[in-house]
Amino acid sequence: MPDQKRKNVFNIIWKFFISVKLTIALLIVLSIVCIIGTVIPQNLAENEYLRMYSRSTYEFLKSTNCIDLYHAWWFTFLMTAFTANMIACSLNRLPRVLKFISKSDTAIDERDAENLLCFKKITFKTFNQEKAKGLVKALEVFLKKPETVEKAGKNYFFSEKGRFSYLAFYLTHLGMVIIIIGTLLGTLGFQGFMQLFEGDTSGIVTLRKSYKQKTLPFEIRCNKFEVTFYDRTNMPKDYKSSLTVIENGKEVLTKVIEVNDPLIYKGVYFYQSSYGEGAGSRGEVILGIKKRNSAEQKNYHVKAGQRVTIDGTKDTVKVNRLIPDFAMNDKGQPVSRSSKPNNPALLLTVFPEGKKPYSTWVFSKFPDFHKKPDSPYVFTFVKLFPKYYTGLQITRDPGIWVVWLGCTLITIGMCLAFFTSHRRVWMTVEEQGGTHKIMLAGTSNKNKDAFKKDFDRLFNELKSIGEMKC
Amino acid sequence: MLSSKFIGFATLTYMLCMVLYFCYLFFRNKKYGYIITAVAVIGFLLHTAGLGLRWYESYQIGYGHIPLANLYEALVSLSWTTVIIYFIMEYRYKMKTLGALVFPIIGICMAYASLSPNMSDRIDPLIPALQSNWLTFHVLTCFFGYSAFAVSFASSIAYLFKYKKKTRADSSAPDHKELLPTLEALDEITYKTVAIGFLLFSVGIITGAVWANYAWGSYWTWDPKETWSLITWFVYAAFLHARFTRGWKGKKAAILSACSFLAVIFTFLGVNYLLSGLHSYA
Repeated sequence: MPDQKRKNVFNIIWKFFISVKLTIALLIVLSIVCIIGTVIPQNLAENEYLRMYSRSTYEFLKSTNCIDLYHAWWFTFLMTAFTANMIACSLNRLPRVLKFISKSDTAIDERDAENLLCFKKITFKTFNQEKAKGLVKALEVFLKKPETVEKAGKNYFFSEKGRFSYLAFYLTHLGMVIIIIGTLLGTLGFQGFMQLFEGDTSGIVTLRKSYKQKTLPFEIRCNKFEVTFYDRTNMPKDYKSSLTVIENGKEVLTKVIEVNDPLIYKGVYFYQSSYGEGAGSRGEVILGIKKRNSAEQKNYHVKAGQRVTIDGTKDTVKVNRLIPDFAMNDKGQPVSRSSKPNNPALLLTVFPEGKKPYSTWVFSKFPDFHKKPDSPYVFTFVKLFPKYYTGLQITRDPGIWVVWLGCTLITIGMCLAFFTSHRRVWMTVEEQGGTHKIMLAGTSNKNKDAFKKDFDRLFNELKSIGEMKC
Repeated sequence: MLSSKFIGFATLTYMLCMVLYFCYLFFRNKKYGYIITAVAVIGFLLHTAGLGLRWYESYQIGYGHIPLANLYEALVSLSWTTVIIYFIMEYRYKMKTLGALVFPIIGICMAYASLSPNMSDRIDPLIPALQSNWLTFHVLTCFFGYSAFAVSFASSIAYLFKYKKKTRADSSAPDHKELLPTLEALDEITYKTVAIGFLLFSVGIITGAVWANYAWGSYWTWDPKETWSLITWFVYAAFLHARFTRGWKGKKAAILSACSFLAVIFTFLGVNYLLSGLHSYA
């Protein structure tokens, strides 16, 4: 009977996933994995690992994904099992919870009542109707206004409170599952960074980890960067950047950001994360110019891109490019290796009056390099003014609100789990040959000791309403 | 600084409390219970004044921040939240004997803050990342959580202590002078404090995530402190599941809760000393 067999296999798997033993085992295994994750530093460069471990240990750690274990396939597997466990338990509980959440019967059979957490019976010789009303009132104060029904000569009363307490399980566990879904959604976004000098505009983000470039559908301009320090220290008190979002050539938004106050545009967050000094392509320099046959050099304070007229002539010079860290790429084109002023170079274009313009490179550290012997001027790269750049962390996380939703549900669920309980009390009053038989029964799904105390108090009140039959 | 003097006096008062609570446990004379509580309240008032003054002093220096910025301030504030949680439990359950176990923890915390040679009680300026109202929410919820766990630790130890004594004596005769609460009451206190601690600690982790997302653009980075708080969360979650669904009560629950507190200690102190990360300033 293959059908039967399949059913058995399914049953075994189902039993496995609905067990709380699995939950506890997974919690312990995940804890151990996390401990390993803090003992072995994660995501370092190979040479840093080799400083700590031998080559064979490193290879072992690498092959088992222990150096990036939160992204390892087996960690994903554990988290999947954890999620499956929570979902299976939720489904498994559903029929039972639905039964509780639907209204309980007002009338209760005495045999059922006996099995409840609290059960008391009492018979009265005399019975004061007024006081009996008071008892209903007491029930009302204890829980809420009881429902009544009369059946076969018996009066039934039922009162309950906190039925929603069963939601605690669902809110906490659903919250966890939602957070996990949110983190998965987050992988659709990106995390990267950008360094922007004052005055520079860029829409290119360097992604974290992969160091790939990503182009945003808009650009960001850094208008100004400011840093203040605590008095007499070099500890930064505050650093701020004024940023402008430029979309399709139009300025759409300007905001001054600082740590703990990001700029948000179209779901992309720009965080102030660092700053530094360097030279941007729009930096300011001091350019020394002297005539070839003269000894006198005159200094000009020029911005990159600016054009100056040489004193006493009608000739002009334009600073076409500023490269803070000059290098040649594999195509032989000049590029900047970094924003640090390691090897600053200027590309100048000279416009002699009435003659053809020509270009020349000037290097700050190699003044004699690349000289044009036929040029009537000698240029010197005297000084580069370092500029601040702002370090921006740029993130887009489409799952963030899902994560916050999960967190909220968990918090509400925990409050329900720890501070509410479903309390139910039944009472039946039966008149039999001049005596009144009263039965009081109740139960609570949580915090049973406190319920017992309250139940006893209610019973004591009940005892006082009439004269008891011995 | 005046605040340090207040905190110093508070430390001495707590030490005295520790001795008094032990005497109370030893002599079992209920008459003096009020005096001990009064001394503890005086200690708490001095402590509160000390923290308040330190807050005020930080404004006078020109830094202006809540005293939660370095290890010294963290220890002193954590002791403060622990005293509050302890007072609530003492009032709710009408028993003082737990003080004999809670006040040594508070005393050690305060003495370590005041006397440790490599502990600076200077008021340091806040780095920009910490200049946020989230600092208060995040750190206070975490600290109240840690404190509730500390009280649950104390009550589990009391449980195990009493359990051992009871099985050794093996007498069913009720001891009228017995001041330690019943085993059931201790079990209840352990559960209640773990539950409250778990809730507060979860809120602490969540506020931390919200803040991190706001300050650094990522709500979770597997920083050692974050990871260890998750480990602590897992361990207490296991405790609660064992209790809710498998009915772990009494001795087993007490041992589990006492061991779980090791994770709390490591999250609070161990991470700062042994591992480095975003939280290494506190």
